Amino acid sequence: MSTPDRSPEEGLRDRFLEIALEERLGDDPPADLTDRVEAAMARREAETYRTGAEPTADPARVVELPVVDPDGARRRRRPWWLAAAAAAVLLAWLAVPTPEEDPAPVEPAASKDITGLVVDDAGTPVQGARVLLELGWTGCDAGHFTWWKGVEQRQTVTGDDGRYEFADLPPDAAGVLWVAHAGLFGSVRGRGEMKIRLQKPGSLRGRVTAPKKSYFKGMKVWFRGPYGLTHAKIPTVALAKDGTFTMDGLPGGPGEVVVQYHNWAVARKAVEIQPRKTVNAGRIRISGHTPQGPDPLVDATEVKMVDGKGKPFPRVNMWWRSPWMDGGMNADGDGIIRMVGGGVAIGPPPFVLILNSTTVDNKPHYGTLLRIRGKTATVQVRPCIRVNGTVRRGREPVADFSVLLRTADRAPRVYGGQVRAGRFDVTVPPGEHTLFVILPSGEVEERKVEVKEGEDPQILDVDLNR
Amino acid sequence: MTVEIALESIVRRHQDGLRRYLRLLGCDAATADDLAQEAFVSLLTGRFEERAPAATASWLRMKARWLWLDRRRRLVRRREVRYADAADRVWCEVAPDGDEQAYFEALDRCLAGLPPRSRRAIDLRYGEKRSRAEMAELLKLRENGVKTLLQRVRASLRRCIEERIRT
Repeated sequence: MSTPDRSPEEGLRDRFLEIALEERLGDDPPADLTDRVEAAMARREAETYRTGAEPTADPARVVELPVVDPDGARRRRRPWWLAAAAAAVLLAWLAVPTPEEDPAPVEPAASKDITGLVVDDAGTPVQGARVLLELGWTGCDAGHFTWWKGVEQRQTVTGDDGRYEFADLPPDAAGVLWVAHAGLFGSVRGRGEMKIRLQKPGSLRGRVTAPKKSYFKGMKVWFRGPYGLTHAKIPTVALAKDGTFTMDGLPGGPGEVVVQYHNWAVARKAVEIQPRKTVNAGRIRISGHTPQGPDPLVDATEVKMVDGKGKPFPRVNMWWRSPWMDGGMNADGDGIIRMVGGGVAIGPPPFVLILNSTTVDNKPHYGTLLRIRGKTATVQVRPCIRVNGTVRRGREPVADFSVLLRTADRAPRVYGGQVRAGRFDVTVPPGEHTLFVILPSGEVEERKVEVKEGEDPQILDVDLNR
Repeated sequence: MTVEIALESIVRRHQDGLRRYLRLLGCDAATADDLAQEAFVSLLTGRFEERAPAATASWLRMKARWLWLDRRRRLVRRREVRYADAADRVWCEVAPDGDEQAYFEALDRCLAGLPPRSRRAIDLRYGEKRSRAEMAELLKLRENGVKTLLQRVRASLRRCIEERIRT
């Protein structure tokens, strides 16, 4: 504002700083909008119920512009941002100068198009190919393609010259184009003018490995096509008894194989499909929650919780994970958690016991699997210890840092600490740990520390100079 | 029940950022609240599926931007659209991951490092909301001096914040 050639961004940076200062230093915090939004939604619902129709738009509501699709069919509803962009163009065109502003000439804003040519694998333009467009837009994470999936899909057909065109798109519209024509596939991502080269499909084979072969029965394998296109989804295939799979008719280009075992574990592997070739994805291991991980996989149907002296520990809450769902429960008066039966139908074992989820009266504890006998697993539960301290360099306290503690087990767990006013606070099981102090410069300091059982809390001051 | 939980958690998570964004566009506090409310209602009554907080925040900002343009439709011109574009660019600077937490943390640290006189000026202006004339009397300066002092402090705060966010 102070200098005539100041960019709008400069003024806006100042404005944001002022907003932030008012918020930080002012004594009237902004109100919570939850009740207002809830009431507005209720009003809207009531109006819909009363009139049997959508409520009339108030001045601030989005105007839903009627849009005609390529087939000429009139479509009433369109995504808000398409209406917004079209309306912005219209409003810019209808702009009326305000009294306080200079009456500069106003031009209608140009809407952006996505256009291009579709050619076959010999480079010949393809006539009559259906071109599907999924629109996305880039937000703050500029450079990455942020999908608002399913927001908008449009289609058109190439003309005699093999050209296609999508007009009246929002400014800066970017999208993925997908063509499946006469056994050929093509896709491209971007904005503006784009050429799509159709290619013959490729195939994929691979092998899934899992802790038990019996798991193959419930596994699903599918392929996500280039750029996660909705159109390019390939139906799920089943695994053979030895865990192998094959998929045919896949579009060329980047994609990923996804393997899922119920809601339990997911494995992904990126692959590049080659036209006319069979790509070997190699081995894909489902290893999310296996005996090799920090949490044990057990065939038990109940867990007996015991304290440090081996006596039943009632009131302990623990979570577990099954291929079908996750569950959590308090131990009964005998310290038993029944994962099967007891009125809870969550399917048969195996279960993954989430040992560090154990709590007693909401206080964090940790569990150790002692033994499995028959269908009963025994877990010993002990309280975690709170560790806090400061980080300094000689006499100088360090204000900005973060802290992690890693257990010394063969399958270690990592615990994150909170840092407030230069002091860290972390709750961990007793035993040997590695403490990591991470500084904003990227410097990482490592210390071996021992958290003793019975002392709670424990003070652990760190001098980075030592 | 699920809907209520989603409503509450979504509104609580995004309301501050959305309001700041609307105020950055030039809305006063009451208008920012009204438009933020409209944006939330629109989000929650539509075919909403929460994929990631950053995506939801982006969606809400785009919606709020359009609501703002719509409200100013009698005044709107291409300049306003360009202004909103600039606001989006600045927003991306102050909230690179859709979260302004880092900005506010940097602000707190930079405020703590201000010399006493500068801190007093900032407190009077933004904490106590004193006019420039009142500040001039309290700080024993001319009104122009207060203006210059505030400009300098803001510039120094901005430099400090940008430096901290960069590192």
